[in-house]
Amino acid sequence: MSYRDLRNFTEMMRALGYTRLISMENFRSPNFPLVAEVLIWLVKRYDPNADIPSDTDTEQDRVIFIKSVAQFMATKAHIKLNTKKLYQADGYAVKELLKVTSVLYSAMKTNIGGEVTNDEDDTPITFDISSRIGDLKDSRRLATEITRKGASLYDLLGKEVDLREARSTVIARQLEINEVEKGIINSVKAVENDITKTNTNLENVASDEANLEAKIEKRKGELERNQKRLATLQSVRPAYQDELERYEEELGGIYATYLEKFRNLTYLEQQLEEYNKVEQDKLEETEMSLRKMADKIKNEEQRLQVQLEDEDEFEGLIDEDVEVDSDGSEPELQHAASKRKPRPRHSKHRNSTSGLVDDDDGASGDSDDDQVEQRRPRPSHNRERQAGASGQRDNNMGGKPQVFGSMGMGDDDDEDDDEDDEDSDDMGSGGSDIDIDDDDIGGDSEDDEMEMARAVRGARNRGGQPQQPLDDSDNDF
Amino acid sequence: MRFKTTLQKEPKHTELVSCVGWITPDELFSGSDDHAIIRWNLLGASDTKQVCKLSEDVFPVDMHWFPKSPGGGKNKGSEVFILACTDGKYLLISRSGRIEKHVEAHRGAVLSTRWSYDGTALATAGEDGQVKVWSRSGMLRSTLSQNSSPVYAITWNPDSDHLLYTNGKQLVIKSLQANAKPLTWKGHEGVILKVDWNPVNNLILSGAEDCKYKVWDSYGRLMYSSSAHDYPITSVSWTPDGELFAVGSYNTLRLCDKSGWSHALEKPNCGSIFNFAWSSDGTQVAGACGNGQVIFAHIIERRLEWKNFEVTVNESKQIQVRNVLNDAREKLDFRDRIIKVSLAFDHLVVATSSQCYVYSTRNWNTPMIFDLKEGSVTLITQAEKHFLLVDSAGVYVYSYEGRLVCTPKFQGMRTEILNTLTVTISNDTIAIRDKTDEKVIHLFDATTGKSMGDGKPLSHKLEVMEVELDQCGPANERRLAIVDRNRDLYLVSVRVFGTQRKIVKLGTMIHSVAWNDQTNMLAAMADGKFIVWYYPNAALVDKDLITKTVFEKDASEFGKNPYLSNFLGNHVAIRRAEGSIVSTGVSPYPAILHGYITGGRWEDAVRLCRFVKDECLWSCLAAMAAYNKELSTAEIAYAAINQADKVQYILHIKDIPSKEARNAEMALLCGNTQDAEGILLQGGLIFRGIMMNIQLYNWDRALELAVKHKTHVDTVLAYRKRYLGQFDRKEKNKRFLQYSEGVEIDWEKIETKIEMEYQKEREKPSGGKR
Repeated sequence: MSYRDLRNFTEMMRALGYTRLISMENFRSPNFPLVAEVLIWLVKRYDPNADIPSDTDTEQDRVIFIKSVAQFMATKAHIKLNTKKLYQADGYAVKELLKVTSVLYSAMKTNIGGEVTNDEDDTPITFDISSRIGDLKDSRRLATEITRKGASLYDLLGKEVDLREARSTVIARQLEINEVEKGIINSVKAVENDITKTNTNLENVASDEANLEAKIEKRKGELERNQKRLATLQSVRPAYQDELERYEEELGGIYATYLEKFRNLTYLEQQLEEYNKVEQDKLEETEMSLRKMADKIKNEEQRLQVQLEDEDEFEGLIDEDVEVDSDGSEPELQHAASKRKPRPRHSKHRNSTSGLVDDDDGASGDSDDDQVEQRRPRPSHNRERQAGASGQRDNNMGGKPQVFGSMGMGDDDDEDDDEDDEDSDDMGSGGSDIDIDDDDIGGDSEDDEMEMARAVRGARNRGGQPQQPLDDSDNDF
Repeated sequence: MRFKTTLQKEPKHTELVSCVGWITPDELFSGSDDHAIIRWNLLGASDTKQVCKLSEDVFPVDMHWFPKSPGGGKNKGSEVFILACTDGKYLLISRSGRIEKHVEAHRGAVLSTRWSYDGTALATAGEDGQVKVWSRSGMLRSTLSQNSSPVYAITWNPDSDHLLYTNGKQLVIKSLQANAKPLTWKGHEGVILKVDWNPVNNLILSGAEDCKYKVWDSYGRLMYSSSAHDYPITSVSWTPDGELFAVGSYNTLRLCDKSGWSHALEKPNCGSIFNFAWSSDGTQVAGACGNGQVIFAHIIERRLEWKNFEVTVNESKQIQVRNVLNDAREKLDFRDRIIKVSLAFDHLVVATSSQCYVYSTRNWNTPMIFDLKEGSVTLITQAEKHFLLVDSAGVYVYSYEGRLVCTPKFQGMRTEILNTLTVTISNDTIAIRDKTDEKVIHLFDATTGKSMGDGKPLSHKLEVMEVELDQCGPANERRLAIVDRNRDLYLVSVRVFGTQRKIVKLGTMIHSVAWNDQTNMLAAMADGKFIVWYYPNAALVDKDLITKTVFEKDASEFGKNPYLSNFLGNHVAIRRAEGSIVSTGVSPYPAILHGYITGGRWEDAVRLCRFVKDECLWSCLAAMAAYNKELSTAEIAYAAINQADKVQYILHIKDIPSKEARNAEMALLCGNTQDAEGILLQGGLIFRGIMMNIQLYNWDRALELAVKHKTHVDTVLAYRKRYLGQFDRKEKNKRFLQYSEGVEIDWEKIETKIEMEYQKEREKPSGGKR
């Protein structure tokens, strides 16, 4: 054993990539397990499928193992190993192992040598991925192709089982020369026939061509003639043409006059109709006015009658009112008011105006004037009431009448008016009308708190209200 | 710092390469299992030539060139190398390839062989476990050791009187003396394959099959242990200057710092590296590869920094300089390979293989260039005005203008082992530790190159490990810091005239020391502490003050074994054990104070101290003032640090009319009685000298002076008598007995005499009015 062998052996095993590190001292004393491990590893390096008994527990096993390895090396790698030295598993075994490893090592070295020259081209490794994307696609395509081809190959190979038999039978069959000859002659004849047929066909081609050309010529001539005829026919003017034209003109004139007359007629008819309608309207109007007159008269009579009755009962009414006040109950009051005030008449009047307002969308000046007039007393009445309630309120409300006066024509006002009208229609009572109106105005300019406060006050004041509408209505009339 | 490796396209050897060796920095020999010895010429087109072919059964294992003798190139005939072979022989082969001698050495292979550093002996180790020492001519001197297992590696110690060899997992240091007991310790978990012992830093390197490399000191203490690699460490090698080492394994090449941490790792495709050889200039290493290649690795990206400059050797012939302040970059190109670079004191010194370039940091365009006699510079050390260059032939001092100032020499100087620890230079002084006797430090005048003073070297009581000179102040106040083998720090005054050399111990357990470059502050790493002596001179002035002028900081933040790499201005750069550089700052006030003192601006100094209100600074000022005999400042400073006794004494000194007497008293304040006496006697104040000795109870000396100058003998005797009387003792001193016989002691008379003396002193014209 020698230092150099050990050194070279460890170096070669390192280079070959043996998984364990081999120490220089490993073979100083016989070390069969390591030798066996190295041998198995080397054998696997030569042939991964090699079948070597790996049992080395007993002496007999070891002998068999060494023998099989030596045999393997001799047959596969043509390396003669000294089995005795290997069995010693010491420095001398290293010498034997070296024989195997040096072959592998030199092979690797030449390989690496080749690689080194190749590597030089590749040394500037490009990490340009974009250029590699194409490669990736290619490789993917190739991969699918491979699988596809593989599949088809597999199918074909599957068929092979059936085909093999047919093939083998065919191959196995004896060939008779006569039959073969006959077949060949037949086929030759058939081919010859084909050839002659095509040849004749080729000859016929020229005549066919001539025929066709002649036909084309004939058709052309016909076409020409027909075209000439068409031209001559187009140029000739028929005898009755002039007459036709004349009549046409005449007919046109007649039609025009007819049209004029028809128009006039229809105009006159329309005039008549309008006139009739006006007449009818007038009639209705007079009738209406007559009816109105009659109503007025009737009302007058009724009122006169009522007035006569009122004068009798006037004293009792005031007493009743006072009583209601002390009670503080509203519905009764309203009821009382509606019962015996001139109110009904008033509301009726308003009804008629409100109807007009509805029709003309509040554009009628009459109704507005009417309304303004109607309202005017209301602010003053408010003021009176507020003066009783609080100074601050007074201030606020002091501006209001002006606004009302100036904004008589305003849209907001109109809407208010509409609401008012509706309200008044619904309620049909002077006291409640005023209340709601007040609240609305308040809601426009003041906060909820004030509203609340006012609502309370309103409720408080209501006791005194019924008298004022009375005055109101008195003033009005 | 890293390796730039080159491999051949085609291996020149067909088989495993086992050994390599440089003959010059450009010429390499390699031996391989294909029996060929090849010479590589790296200059020009790196061509190879087969030198000789060995016989078929001879495989080389190891190779070592005969060491260059000091003085260089004297005997060209000795250019031989020894080649160890597997057949148990070693061959001596000349440069031309002629086999001069072959000697049967071992049974089995010769595994390792080394010349001793002086070239007088060679050692071989063999597979048979023997270690043998041979004479230069190949005669067996002794079989040093006999072991049961092969000895894989062997190396000499720096003095060539011990051998280190491997024995399995153990490392053995054995003296050449036959009966000496070897030092043996277990180094690794696996078989140790390679060892190397650096002569400069005296550290041992070992690599083993447990995939680790370790660094040891010469006593076998572990300094560093690497983590496990993937493969066994097959080679280790120190650079000649001991700053770096290379480690080789399977497909692995590592460059490491001497403290063990790794600078760079290369993974060349070369198989195991079985042997290394560093070129003599330490810039490149060749490795013998398992696959027949020879790998060459150059050290590049060596980096230096000084203040705002950063110098990087980015190629073997190019330096890049970067000014960090304005990011200005300069590229300096050189004709030859760069060997050493040094940057300090506003100058960059670059030694190439043939020339030396000196750049100023103000001007990178026009360097001073001069030729070098010897190619391989091993050390450059800079001072403010000049720099020291060491090559294998000698030590040279050059000015920054490129002028050779001097070449200090002493008997037995070995230049190749000088390093930054053993050589130090300041503007006027050079200190070099002797190698043969490590207790001795040679001091030279930097301007003349002559030995300082009487020519006798400074001798310390223990082996000196480190010497450092301070950089500032006048030449006669030069101080040398010494770290000895016990890691004690001493401060020594360099220039002494007549009187004895003063040595003061400053600290213990010192790892490393560094002087400041602008002021004489001394920083040290000691026993887990970072220490700065703001005014080390205080040790020579007033020992009480030295502890007060020290700044101490816990150094645990710097890890284990930190090393002070420099101390520039207020910044201290500390290299941690794992190689990172950490900066720490010190207070700027001491530096400002130093500036005021050198400028003589004492009032400003006092104002500064008042502003800072630091006792440490006051102590510094007190020491400085006392040293410079600035009485009023000293009084203020001592008062500030509550030294009432000193203040009292200073007030007393102020009252003394005579200048010499005042100086003497100041010397006394500093505890220098001899100086004080010398001053007094020189000034003719004999009476004061006698009195001083009496007050110091130095009776013999007082009497001697009195007798010598024939005055006041009775005074001395009277004081002596009174003194003894206080203790009820009898006079036993023969001299006193002898003189007391004829002298009558009359106190009245004596007192009048003393009064007369003082009177005389006051009237003396030389006693300058204060």
